[in-house]
Amino acid sequence: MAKSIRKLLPLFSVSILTACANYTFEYVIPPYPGEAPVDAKEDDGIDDAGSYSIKIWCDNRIESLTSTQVSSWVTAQNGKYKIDLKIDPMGEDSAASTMLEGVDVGADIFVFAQDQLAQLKTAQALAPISGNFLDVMKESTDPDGIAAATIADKVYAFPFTGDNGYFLYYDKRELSEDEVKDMSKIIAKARQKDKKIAYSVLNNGYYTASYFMGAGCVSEWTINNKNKFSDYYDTYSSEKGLIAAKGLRDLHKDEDLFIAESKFSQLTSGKAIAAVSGIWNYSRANEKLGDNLGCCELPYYTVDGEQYHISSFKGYKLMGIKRQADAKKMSVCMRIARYLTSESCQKERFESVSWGPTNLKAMELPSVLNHKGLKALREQNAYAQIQKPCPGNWFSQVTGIASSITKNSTDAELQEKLNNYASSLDELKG
Amino acid sequence: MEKLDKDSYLKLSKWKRFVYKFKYFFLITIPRVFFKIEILDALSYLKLNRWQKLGYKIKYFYLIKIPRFFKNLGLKIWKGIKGFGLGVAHFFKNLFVTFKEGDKFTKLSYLFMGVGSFARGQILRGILFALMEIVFILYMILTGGYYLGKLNSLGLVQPLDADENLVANADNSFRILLYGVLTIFFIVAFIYTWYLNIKQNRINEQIKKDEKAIATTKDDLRAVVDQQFHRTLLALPTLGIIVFTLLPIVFMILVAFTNYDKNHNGISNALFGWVGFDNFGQLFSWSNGTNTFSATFGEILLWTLIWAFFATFTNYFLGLVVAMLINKKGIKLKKVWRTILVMSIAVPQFISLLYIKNIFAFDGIINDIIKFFGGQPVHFMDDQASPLMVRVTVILINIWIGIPYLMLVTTGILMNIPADLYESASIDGANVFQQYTKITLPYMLFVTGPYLLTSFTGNMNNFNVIYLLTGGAPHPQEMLKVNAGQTDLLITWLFKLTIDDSNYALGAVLGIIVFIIVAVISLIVYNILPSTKNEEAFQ
Repeated sequence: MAKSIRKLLPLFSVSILTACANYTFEYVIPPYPGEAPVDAKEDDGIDDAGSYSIKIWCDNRIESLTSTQVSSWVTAQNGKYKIDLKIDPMGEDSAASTMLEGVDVGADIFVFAQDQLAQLKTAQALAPISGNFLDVMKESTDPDGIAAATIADKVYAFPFTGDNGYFLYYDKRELSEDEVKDMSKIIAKARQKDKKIAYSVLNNGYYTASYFMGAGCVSEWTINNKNKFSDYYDTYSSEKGLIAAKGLRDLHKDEDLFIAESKFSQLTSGKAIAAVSGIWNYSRANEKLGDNLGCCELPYYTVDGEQYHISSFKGYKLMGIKRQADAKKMSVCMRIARYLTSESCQKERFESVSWGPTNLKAMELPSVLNHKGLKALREQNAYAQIQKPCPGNWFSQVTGIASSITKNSTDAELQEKLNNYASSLDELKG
Repeated sequence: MEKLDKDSYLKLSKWKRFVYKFKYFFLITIPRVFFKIEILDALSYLKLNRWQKLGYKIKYFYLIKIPRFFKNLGLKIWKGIKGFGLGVAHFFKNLFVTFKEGDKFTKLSYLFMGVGSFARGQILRGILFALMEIVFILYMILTGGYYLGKLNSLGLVQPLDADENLVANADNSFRILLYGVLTIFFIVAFIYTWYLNIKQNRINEQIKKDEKAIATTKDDLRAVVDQQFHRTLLALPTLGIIVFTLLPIVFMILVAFTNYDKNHNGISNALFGWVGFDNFGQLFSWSNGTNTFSATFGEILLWTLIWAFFATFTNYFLGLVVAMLINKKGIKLKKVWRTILVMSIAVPQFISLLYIKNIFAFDGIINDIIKFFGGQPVHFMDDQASPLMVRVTVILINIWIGIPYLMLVTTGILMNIPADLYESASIDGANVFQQYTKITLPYMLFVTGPYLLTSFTGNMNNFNVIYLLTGGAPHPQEMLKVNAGQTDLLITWLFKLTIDDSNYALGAVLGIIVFIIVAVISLIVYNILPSTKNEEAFQ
């Protein structure tokens, strides 16, 4: 008898194991402190209740905040969803490249800088946003932000932050409010004081373009239905482009004064008098310089007696959702992303890391309006162009113009560089 | 060829006489008549004056040696093909003979692996053979068959339908290629095991015929730690090399024949498929003047070779000089000098490289010093610099990095050169330079020949120095179109193409080309190195 029981034992254990496999443990999310935020309460009739495993990529500075926000959303849904949440830190600049290395293992919801939108669209890594989600977004969000997330009339991401552009930082002890309006005056002051200007205009296309856009040039790319850059409208090699090229030639005469934007810390350490950079350097600068920190719109440059206001990109960080085979999971991801870009979440993010909101109501908050950096950015936005999708190599082509110009280039040579640039655009297609 | 006198000629068989005449005609008569070269014996050679000797040598090299080289090469290839063919024939003959002469168990083993082993009491072998067959069949039915069947097309079900919606059971080209290759590896392994299983039967039948004892399971187990111990030890490393080295290499080579790029990533936007030699064509279509890939490839290849040459030999000779300086009698504080040089090795290379990059930057220390003395700042390694400037700067910086290593390597060898060689040389009146060229250098080249070769190939793929110092700069507008710069090596260009542009197919092609170039150079140089031929020469 004992022998036969011993023989049956494995059979018992197997059946117990199978029973376990069918049983789902109830996953309890810790309650959100305080009342659930208003934005989280929603009901639009889609039945997507269930348990999901969702992976999010975001900057490490907002990792824990995002985790709290998502769990508060889950709590507000009264047990409709069980979310197994995984948040990995991922800089917005590298989200796209990591995603492209393996879309199948990438995050479901991820934040990326807007210039990667086209790449991600080409890889078909983004789900278009439609229906109620799009309607709510259009009601509540900065329209320029939506335009930045749009390719061929389809919106591919939720605008996440609205501060991805650049403006002028300066040291109030070195430069007056009058001087910062004119590039030549800034240069003269830097020369006089033997200090630097942190502005990557001569070796980084992202900043070089500011001179061209300032002269009124545009470069717009069309993406066809095969996800390829099929056509472009580009005026960088026009007469306006020549004006910008002349401006760059003037800068090359003082090229020893210009240092890369990455050496921003020289402004705070007193080795530079001004810097052209974005909000990402604000807290560092504010901490070190305090009241001596000045932020304002970019200056103008002068060519042949005419003044041109230096332009910039009005850029956004976007929150995208990976295409999902499971329609329900897609809907849940959309809900979470919508919540994470809602007024209350954007407000929390602004308060914790000072990221500029894209939600119309959050943008009107007094604390946002009084933020020195965001204020300068808003002033500069009057002269900025919305950053649209363009081929990744386009920026290096623009860099190529600036780095091939020398202080001795003749006007004809400048035009030749611009023509070289124009002839390269066809190569960037496809 | 050897010239025969009349007697030995007459001794030859008819066939050999014909061969001799044939050879004589092509190797002696034709050269004599058409190229006017007569093969001289030692005595007549010595009678020539210096210029005639030189002329003879040149003629001999071009008219005799080179044809002979190609003849030998052809023979070797033919022998190889013949050997392979014979091997295959032998394989099938063996299979046939074993089947014909074998007993019923042997015959059954052709279909059911391990039957013969079971029948002859080799239980363990029987189990292993049978297990292999079962696992193989199961694998082929469950997954292998699927991937193998799709390998031909790399998938047909695109991930997106016409309206750009995700398709449920879409294919995945990447997996198909990877598991397809893995399946082929497994099939080869299975065929080999199957052949072993048959060979076992033949061997055992022979043993039975000789009335000797067949190895039992116990014997087998003992052999694993005794006679077959080398195999036991090597089993894991071999498996590791196959899975982690051979498989990726085969995979990468195959990628070069597909259109795996950002528009066909095989997973989310479109499948990739076979395109034959199109990618190679892109790199080699010289006729098309506007083809930027081929023009850029030519420029980068040339610079890669120039870089490898200078980076290797400047380091080698200057390192040697530094080592000799420190070794010289009368130099004080030898250990201090060596320690100072070795310190630069102690800092990780990429840190010192980034540091140097900042020193040479347009707003770096070097330019500050130049400005201090009233000069104009110089663009050393950025986009505004001239290509020659950047290239020279990089080679100079590389000298700074490389000398300490060479100094370390050569110090020991220099001390090994017998001092009496130098003594007798100086008694014979040789000056320092003559001693260097006649004693030191030959000795060093003999000992460090293989090192020179590896450092040449290593420099061809010296990613760190180029990528961290210049990042490929300067980038002229034409080269930017394909994401290259004038100091890019093939390896850094490959990196940019794959990482920045997701052009994996072209990256794989570049990888193959780098491999071919490195392999050809290594094989040729290795074969002419004295150190690999005559080990005793310097002992």
